[in-house]
Amino acid sequence: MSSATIFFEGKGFLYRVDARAKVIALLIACVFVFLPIYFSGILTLSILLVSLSFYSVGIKNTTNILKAILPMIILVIIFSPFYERSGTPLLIYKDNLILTYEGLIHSLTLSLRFFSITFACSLLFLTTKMNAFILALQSFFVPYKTCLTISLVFRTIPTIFDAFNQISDSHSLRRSNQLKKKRLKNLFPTLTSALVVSLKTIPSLAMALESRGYGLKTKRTNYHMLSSYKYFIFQTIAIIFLFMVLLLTFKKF
Amino acid sequence: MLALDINSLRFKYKSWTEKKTDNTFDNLDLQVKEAEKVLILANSDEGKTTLSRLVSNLLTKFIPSEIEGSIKLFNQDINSYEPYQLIDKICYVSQNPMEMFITTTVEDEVAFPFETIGIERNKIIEIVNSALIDWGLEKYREVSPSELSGGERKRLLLAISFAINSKIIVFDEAFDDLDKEYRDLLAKKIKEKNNTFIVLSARYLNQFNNVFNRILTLENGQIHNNQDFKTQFTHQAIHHYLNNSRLLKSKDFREDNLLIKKEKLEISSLEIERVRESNKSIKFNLHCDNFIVRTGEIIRLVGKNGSGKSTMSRILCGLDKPLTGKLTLNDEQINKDLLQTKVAYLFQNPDLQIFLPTVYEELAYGLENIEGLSSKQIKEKVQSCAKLFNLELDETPSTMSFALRKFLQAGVYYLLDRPFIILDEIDGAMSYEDSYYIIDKLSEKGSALIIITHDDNFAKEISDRTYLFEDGIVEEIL
Repeated sequence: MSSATIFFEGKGFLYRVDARAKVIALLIACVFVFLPIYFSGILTLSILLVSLSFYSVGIKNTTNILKAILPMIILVIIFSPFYERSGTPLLIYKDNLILTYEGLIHSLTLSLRFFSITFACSLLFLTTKMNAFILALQSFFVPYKTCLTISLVFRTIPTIFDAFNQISDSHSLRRSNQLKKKRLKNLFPTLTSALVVSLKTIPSLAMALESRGYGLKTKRTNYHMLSSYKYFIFQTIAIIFLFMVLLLTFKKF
Repeated sequence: MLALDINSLRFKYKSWTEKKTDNTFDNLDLQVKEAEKVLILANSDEGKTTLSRLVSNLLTKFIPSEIEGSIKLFNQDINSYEPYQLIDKICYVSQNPMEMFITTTVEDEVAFPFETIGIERNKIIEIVNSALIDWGLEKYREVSPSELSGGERKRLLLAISFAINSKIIVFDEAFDDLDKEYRDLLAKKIKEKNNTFIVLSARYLNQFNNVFNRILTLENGQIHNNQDFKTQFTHQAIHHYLNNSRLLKSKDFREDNLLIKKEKLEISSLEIERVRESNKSIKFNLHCDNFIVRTGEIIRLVGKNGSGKSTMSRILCGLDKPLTGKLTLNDEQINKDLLQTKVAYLFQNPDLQIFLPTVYEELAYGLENIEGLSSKQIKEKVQSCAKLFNLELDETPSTMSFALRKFLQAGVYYLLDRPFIILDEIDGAMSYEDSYYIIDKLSEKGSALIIITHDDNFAKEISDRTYLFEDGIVEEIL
């Protein structure tokens, strides 16, 4: 039995926020991190997100998100300072300028931008059922075809991940008792087979969609409904207010 | 009026490598009347899935192929419709449920076709509720289909097909993965409903008695009205085969003639807990006081869908850890890594266990990890194994038939000489003869076989002991 799923059931704060308000919050967060604000502004947003995550989805799920983002953050922190050559020197090795203060801040800003956006997206999908997310998009006039594509991606990613895990298990079961696990050697055939399994799902998915009537010109109805606009409006106002406070506190202009 | 009318159908797949391929069907004719219930029996690799998809118009649009002849649904040529326009006329129930799922929850999966057709919301709610209750899925309504067990997935697909209620319903191995209760329910529904049913199967099950108006066979690309089908497709038919194998010999005989080291695997005070992440309120607990298996033995694991057979198997072969419990090999505690080298596990889906470009590489992969084996020895072992399982060494596994992929999966573990082998629904979509062939060959060296099955008849005579999984408890049936 698989455990592949993106949505994790819970009762935390974020589960009670309207899906539309969460989508708006995500969009504002994405814009906010690119506005001319001080580094401390992005840092505050990141801390707020992590706190919200602890409070809403718990330590285990928060740690899982952090683990998934960490490798990319490390790469950005290691390599981006080299591209910022001007400013106050912080590290010089044999007359060569290695790191400047501006380079360090630039690198940390880039990392935190990436962190905030990825973390906010993860929180959205971890705490929002796919049907609510699709209805939220539809309420913002996103065409159904686009919504379905997004839904299919989120239906397929965990399945491919699950296939990868099962294939990886299958490799483990073929090990010789004289040898330790060769993780890197096993990665290539595992990825190849996961890719083959994924490619095979393309015609099957097309068959599944058409056999369920996808393509008919009739007006589509919805099995689910979003909650009343009252909560959505109240929550959206609160979110906008919060970001306004952050912007006014940390603005550079 | 004819619900389905196939005349002089010739069909073949186009090879990806431009290699010449054989016709899957050659002048195939089939006429099915409205409200008729037809069973088509065919061995693996005879084209059951191909025929099901062709009559549902789901094949030629998506997979490169060549087709001649005509297929008519209610006197209309199938080519005059797009597949989605046939939703009220024909419904295809795939052998593999996961390939048919579109959404992220069980209830959304049932609701999807009705949303597409434009049925009003209250009516959809009614349909979804009734479908989920009918197939015992109401508590899983908010669970992701990928978190269901094999049998639960199959029930979901059946719930959808009966809810859509198309005039013709085509079931491709629909009884597989289901436990007895739901096999009986499916047979009852087929018998009682007025739809036209076409059921394709590799085996004649007890549940088929008195359900069908006609029983046909699909052999060599054509449909036959073969009244002698029982000699080929029923459980009794393979007795002559079993009589010559070591499977029917006594347990003592098998234990005395081991070609591998004598070993004993034991589990005591095992507790397993499983939570479905998409709905944490549905918890699953399993308790097992004692489970013993010795080389030379054949053991059956039986129980309802979702009763924990596969979950326990994953613990037995070291893929998962139990909540509590002690696992010992020859009375010494064994860790997860060592278990993985002692217990083989043939997954239900062979595609998750075969991954290399050729049969040769697939079979040789495990042997290459064994120290002291020369390339010449590996080649010899692989060649003899391929011969034993009727495999061609230069074939591409992913394009082989389901039965051959199962044979290859078995071949891989045959070569590794594991003392314990778990066979998870080896009979699924396979003929009795093919399934027994695999069991026979895998038991040759004396490996203990642990067989998971839902078929009452399957492996009953050959098993030494049976463990029942019921109400969260695993117990030996004495």
